[in-house]
Parts: sequence; structure tokens; C-alpha cells
Amino acid sequence: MLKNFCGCRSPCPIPYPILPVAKIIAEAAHIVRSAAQEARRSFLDRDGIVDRAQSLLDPLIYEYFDVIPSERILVEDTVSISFGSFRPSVRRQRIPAIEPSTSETRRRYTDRLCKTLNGWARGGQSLVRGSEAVSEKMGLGLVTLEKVGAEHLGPLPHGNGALLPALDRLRDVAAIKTNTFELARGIKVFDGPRLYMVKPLDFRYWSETAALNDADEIAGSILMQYAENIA
Amino acid sequence: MSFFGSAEGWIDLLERMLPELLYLVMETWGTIARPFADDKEDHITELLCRSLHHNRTVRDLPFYIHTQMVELDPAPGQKLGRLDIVFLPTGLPGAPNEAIYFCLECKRLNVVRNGQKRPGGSDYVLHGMVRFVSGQYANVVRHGGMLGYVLNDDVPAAITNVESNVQNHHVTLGMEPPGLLHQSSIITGLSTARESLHRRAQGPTPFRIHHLFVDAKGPQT
Repeated sequence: MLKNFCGCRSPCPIPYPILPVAKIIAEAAHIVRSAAQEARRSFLDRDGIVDRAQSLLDPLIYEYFDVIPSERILVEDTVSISFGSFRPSVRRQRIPAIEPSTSETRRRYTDRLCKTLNGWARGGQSLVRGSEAVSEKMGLGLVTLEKVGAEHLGPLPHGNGALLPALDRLRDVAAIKTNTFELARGIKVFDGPRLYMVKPLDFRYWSETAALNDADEIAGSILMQYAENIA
Repeated sequence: MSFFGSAEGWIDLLERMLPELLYLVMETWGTIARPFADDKEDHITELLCRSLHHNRTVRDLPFYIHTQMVELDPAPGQKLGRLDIVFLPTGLPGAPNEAIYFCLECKRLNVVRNGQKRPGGSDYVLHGMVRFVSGQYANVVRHGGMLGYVLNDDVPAAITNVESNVQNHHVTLGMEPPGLLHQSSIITGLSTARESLHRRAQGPTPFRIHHLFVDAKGPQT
């Protein structure tokens, strides 16, 4: 019955006919039945059994709905960040989207951004490398991307020491005459082979979804420049 | 987020994107089941677009793919155009917007009706290529594409017919005489890909049209 039809009433996409839907369903059913049997035998670790079964089922669910890795990031960020941030209550005051980002989060953001752009650039002469610097005092982070020859791809040096001079340079490049720090939140500045992005430190600006959106914006700017310039 | 500065120095980063799009169109074409239930142009284009939407590589690219997009601002006196397949960058402000990165115009060639073959090269040129050259389509960019569905599987004859029509109309098409279709410079290894260079009175010039000819043999009619 489920071969070409999603049984739930939510607006899910119907699996694309080329997917081995029956095989996925059989595998999922096997995991659920095994977990149920295991749970009958064990009274102590039922939560663990459910978690393990869920972790085995998740990839199958993504496969069933033909969710590709970049789309999976959006789904997971929506569940872990957006859902948790909607309508905070007195009992649930933590708002993941506006919590301060960690250095690990920011590193993941930069990695995802570079990987996405480099995925689109594959086969070409150039690639992108990036680094991030932050000032918690100012509440600002600066992502620096550098376009380099494919043979020179390596890490871009990190360091908070570079933040102030970099912001000073950005002020010149972007020619912002008014309050720099207010305006500088959320800008991208192309400067020769470098691209600077100034961001607030809130988590939502450093999620992997944000990286995918930023990669989209950067690509949009480059593609239109390309389309207009290249003969 | 606002952008400052020029992306000029970054252009070569995504230089392979256009050929990749064209390769993906060809790859996706190969996955469509034939013969078609209906060999009308719009039906074939719709099938192709649907398959493009499901292609995992295409879904990872920063484009929206639309079919039959209505051109909102035709020039005075111009007929309202429908762009067969358009690739719109997802990351532009207000996207999807009118800043079309790449438009693919589709035409049928070698249509056989009641035993009579209609080559269709003239329609390909006058109602396809000319729309790019006149600036009706893709008037802010320098590249456009033509996709020829060859319905009787004689692709070489279809290309020859289009070439001869291009030569006949090379002045209208803003081409250097004699008006040649060259082997594609960005899609290598595909004998049915061509390109042509055009001067335009409106919009960025020179303008390059990438031509793809595909075997679309449909049911006998």
C-alpha cells in the first residue's frame, strides 16, 4: 500500500518513484520490530533502545523522502534551533537561536560555507578557504573568505588580533560614513580575492543553515557578475 | 545581508557552473523515459523540468528552476513571451527575481506528421534564437541556451537544417557572415553541442547562445 504513497496526512512529498521504497519500508519495519522485542526483554534501558532505533531510522526516513545532505541540515537545524526558539515560556526560557555561538559552532559554520562554495566551484581553477575571528566584547564576528588557486588550498590563519584592523579596513572599503559598528552587522564586503562578512555572535548567524544561505547569497552575486561580464 | 565592493575578482570561482548546468540538462535528459505519451513541446519540457527538480546534483546547486515563466515586461508591441526553462540564482535579494542567470528555450525539430517531416529550423531561429538576440529574453546577461528536441532521432540532419537556417538569417541574428554554429567551447566531448556568438542592439553584447540537440524520438503520430 505504501509503495507510492506517503501514508500520513501531513503535506510530505511523495517519494520519487525511482527510490527503493519497499526496501526502505522493510528495513524500517525490521528495526522497529527488533527494538520492540528488545524492549520487552529489557526494563532498564528502554530509552536507550528507542534512541538507538531512532538513530537507525533517521537515515532511512531521509532516504524515503529523498532528502539530500544539504536539505538534511535544514531539517535538523529547524528541529533543533527553530522549534526550540518559538514561543519561549516561563518554564522554557532558553532560546537556542539567540544564544551566543561557540568557537566550535563558528568553525562548523565556516567549514560548511567553504565546503558548499567549493562544491559549486569543483572543476574550476579556484577554491575558497576561510577563517573566523570574534570579539565577544563588541559582540561581533568576522568571517574572512579567500579565493585561492586550487593548489594552494589550506587553512587561512585564525586570530582575534586581526579583527580590529580588518574592521577598520572594511570601513574604508564599504565607505560607511555613519556608525560603523551598527551598520557593519550583517554586511558582506568583496575586496579583491577576499570576502569579509561581519556577523553578530548569536547562534542563528552561525548555524549550518546560515552557512548554506550565505553561500547562496555569495553565489548569486558572483553568478550575476559572471553572467554580465563574461563574453 | 548587504554586499559592498565588486565580485569581479571572484568570477572565476564559479566559472564551471554554466557548463555544469548544461551537462546536467543532458544527463537528466538521458533519464527521461521515452517514447513520450505526448510529443508536444510543452509536455516534453515539463517532463525535463520535473526530472531536473528531482536530480540530486541539481538540487544542490544555487538555482531555482522554473518552466514557462512569463516574461513580465515585454517591450511595447512585443508579444508576451514564456521562457521555457529558466535558472534563477536563489541567493539574490528578493529571489526569485527577474535577474535570470540562464534561460533555455526549447524547440521541436524534425516533427513527422502524416508521413511529412517538418524540419523546424526556421522556427528554431526566428522564434527561438531571435528572442535572445532582440533582447526579449536574457536582456541583462550574456548567455542563453537553445534546446532542440529532435523527434525523429536524426540529430545530425536536424543540426544541419538549423545551421542552414542560421546562415540564412545571420544578419537578423547579429552574426558574422556566414553565420556559423561552432562546436561548443564549454561542453567538450559532446558532438551535439554547439555555440554561436551574436551582437545585440539591446542588452549586454556580444551574446553567446549554447545549443543542445537531443534525441527525443516520440510515438508515431
